Amino acid sequence: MKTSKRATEIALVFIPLGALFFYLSSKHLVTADVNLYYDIGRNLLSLKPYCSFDIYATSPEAYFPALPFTAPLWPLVAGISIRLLGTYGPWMINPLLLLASAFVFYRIAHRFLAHEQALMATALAFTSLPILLIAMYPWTETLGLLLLLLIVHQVLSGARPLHTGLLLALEGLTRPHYLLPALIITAIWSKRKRDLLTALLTSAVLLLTYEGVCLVLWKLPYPSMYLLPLNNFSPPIGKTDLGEAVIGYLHTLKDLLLNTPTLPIGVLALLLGFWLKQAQGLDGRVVKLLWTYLVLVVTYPVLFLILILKGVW
Amino acid sequence: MRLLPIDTIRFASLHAPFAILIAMVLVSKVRNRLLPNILTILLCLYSAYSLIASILISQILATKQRPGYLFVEKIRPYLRSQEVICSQDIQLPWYLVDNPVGKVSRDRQGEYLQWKGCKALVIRREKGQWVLLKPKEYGKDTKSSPK
Repeated sequence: MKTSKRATEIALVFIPLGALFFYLSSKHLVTADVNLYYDIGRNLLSLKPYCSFDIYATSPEAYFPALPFTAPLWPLVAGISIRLLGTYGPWMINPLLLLASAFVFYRIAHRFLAHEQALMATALAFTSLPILLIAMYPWTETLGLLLLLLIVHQVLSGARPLHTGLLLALEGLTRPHYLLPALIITAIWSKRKRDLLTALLTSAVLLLTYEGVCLVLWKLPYPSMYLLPLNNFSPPIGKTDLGEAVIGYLHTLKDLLLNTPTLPIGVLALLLGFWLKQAQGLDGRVVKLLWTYLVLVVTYPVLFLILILKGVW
Repeated sequence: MRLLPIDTIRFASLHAPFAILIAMVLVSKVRNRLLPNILTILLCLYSAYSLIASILISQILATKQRPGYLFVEKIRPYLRSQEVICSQDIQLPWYLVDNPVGKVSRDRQGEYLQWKGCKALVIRREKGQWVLLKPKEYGKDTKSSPK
């Protein structure tokens, strides 16, 4: 009886969430990035050139893979979905990935909170603007988020390190810059050093295999291919002046604070958490959760700062 | 029209769920009943705002978007050609396409395809190949204009 009540409650949260994701996705919105994933995905499965045109190439004659999109996993998933489901395949897969993310998130939340609270957290987290935005477009973020949540779930439940290693490698092949926080989070949550080493080794072997493919096909190492576009990056306002670059950085930070109140909420929670740790003590798992959030929230500003400094110097 | 800084919000999608999770975990540890209720109400308000905003944004973008690949997919049946054609192959300026509804017409030179709302975009069959004819006007950005 209790189980069926729980199942009903889960359904009451997840069915409307799914309907919302599918509704947003049904607009079939595209951006330049989405177009390229589409192109790469379809070409990969048609044994055509990886990508026929590089939108970021400075020279129209340039012919090499679209540099920011050489992370192959999402284009491959998109390609398979086009094959199986037709033109709108990626728009059908995207909400399913988000629903899966919501379910994994619920499982994670349930480790810290009671069933009802975990469901509430899931509903609130997956109706926040950043999540609803990635529900609209088949970008790589959705798959990246699902893999990150799976990694956290795996290390939290003390699952086999080989599985964690596999997920880390897949994360690296989906959104390479998610790999760094994912590795740190794995290190934070791993119970034994041996498990951590096994996971790292597994992911390294898999990523190096893809590295070999990149070197054979394009004579360029994978990280370089992914990072090369940074050379063309220019900050939102300033291009050469440090003062203007700082203004650009603050401008972006303001956008982030005003349009995603989850960031101030998270920062306040961090402050509360570290105060609670001093005042009444918190159990180790909650402290690890605080560190996990800190790692996730610090990664992007640091990356952005590096980009700005590259634009200045 | 700049609706929202989409890229900035996109960046936040990684850590936003965790922000809500740690906030809820921590308030459950506080020996105070008021704080969890206030936080839950605030988060519910934010969710309501997000819901309305996202539906509006998707509606507005759906009417304003310039279809790229979908556009090409839509013209595929008209092309009756086996070769893979995509916007990159012919460097279709996807952001210039206002209306993806196409129409096959015929003139003295042969069959051609023209789009309502973007008359500059014309694909004509020449020597068995579909080619994108040079448009009269392509806007300011010349980077993606056809060769």
